Amino acid sequence: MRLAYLLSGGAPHVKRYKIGADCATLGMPIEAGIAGEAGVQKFADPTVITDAVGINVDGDTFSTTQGAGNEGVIGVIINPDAVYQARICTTATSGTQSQIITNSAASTGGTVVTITTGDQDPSGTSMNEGFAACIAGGNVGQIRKVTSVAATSVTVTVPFERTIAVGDVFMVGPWSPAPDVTGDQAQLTTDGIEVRNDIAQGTGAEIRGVEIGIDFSSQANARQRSYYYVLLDDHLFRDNT
Amino acid sequence: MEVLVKRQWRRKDILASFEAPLRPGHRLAGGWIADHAAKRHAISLCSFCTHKFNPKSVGYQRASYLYPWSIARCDDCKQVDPRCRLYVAEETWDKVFSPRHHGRRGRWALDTA
Repeated sequence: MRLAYLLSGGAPHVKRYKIGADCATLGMPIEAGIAGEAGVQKFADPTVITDAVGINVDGDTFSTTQGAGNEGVIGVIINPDAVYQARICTTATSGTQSQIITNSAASTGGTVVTITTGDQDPSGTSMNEGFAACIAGGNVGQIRKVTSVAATSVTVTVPFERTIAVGDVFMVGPWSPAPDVTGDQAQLTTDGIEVRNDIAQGTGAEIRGVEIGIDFSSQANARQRSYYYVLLDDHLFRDNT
Repeated sequence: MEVLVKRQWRRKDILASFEAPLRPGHRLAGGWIADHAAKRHAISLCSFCTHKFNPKSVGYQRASYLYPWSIARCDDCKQVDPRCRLYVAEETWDKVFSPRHHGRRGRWALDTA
């Protein structure tokens, strides 16, 4: 994840904390340590972020060796209203490109996208209440909220401007900006720096979406350079438990 | 003021105890910051201290993206300054800051990353 902007303006607040584990990856959620731990903890579970402190802007090695001269500290952006840019990918490993749906049945009304055999089932892994963005075809650049799903299709309420033709390519994801409270989750990659769009809506770590940024300049760019802009929902410096 | 009765530690109290002390009194600022630069740590310097640091000589650049300042404790004089300049290693820039606001791409550059 990368700092994109702050909701309230101002400036990023960077604090340096002692670490309780190796923190080599940059831009991952950092969680508050608990009693008995030597310092703040790195992100560990793609489905859980508890008491986030922020994201780290540098890394260090944790050591318990006396005289090693390495206390182990990292800088963390601690603003609770910081919006982070998380790249959209499809597997547990960061760096992969996003999955797509290739439309296999024309929709003159511009509301139904039908998958091609081999595409992910949008109801088995629910994309309902997520987004559908056209990245190749007559509706390139348009993005709609998915309002219902079936085993072979996703349906939007507000139609795409033109007919959805066979072969048009769509990128779908299980989130939408400003989601309702049941949908404020996203599953991260194992290193905690990207979000996965092959996971069902409403599952994953405590993350709230602010906006979705798709690079519509080409199909390849859309699959590789699209981002979900998120807040860390369970942030230590906001009202929380 | 704090009431002198026993109370449980909250997670915020625990976190406060984790905050790293800055430059020890026996260390000169130059060597301390050079050590951080060698570890490729982010370096925050207040407006009074920033001119002492040459970021390019150690492969750093200023994080002047959407916001020109950061709020931090100066790694040199330890003062909390709402107008600190944050320097990050060039190779780590894209991992923690959105390249949309990359300082070297020009004011009108497109968001291409």
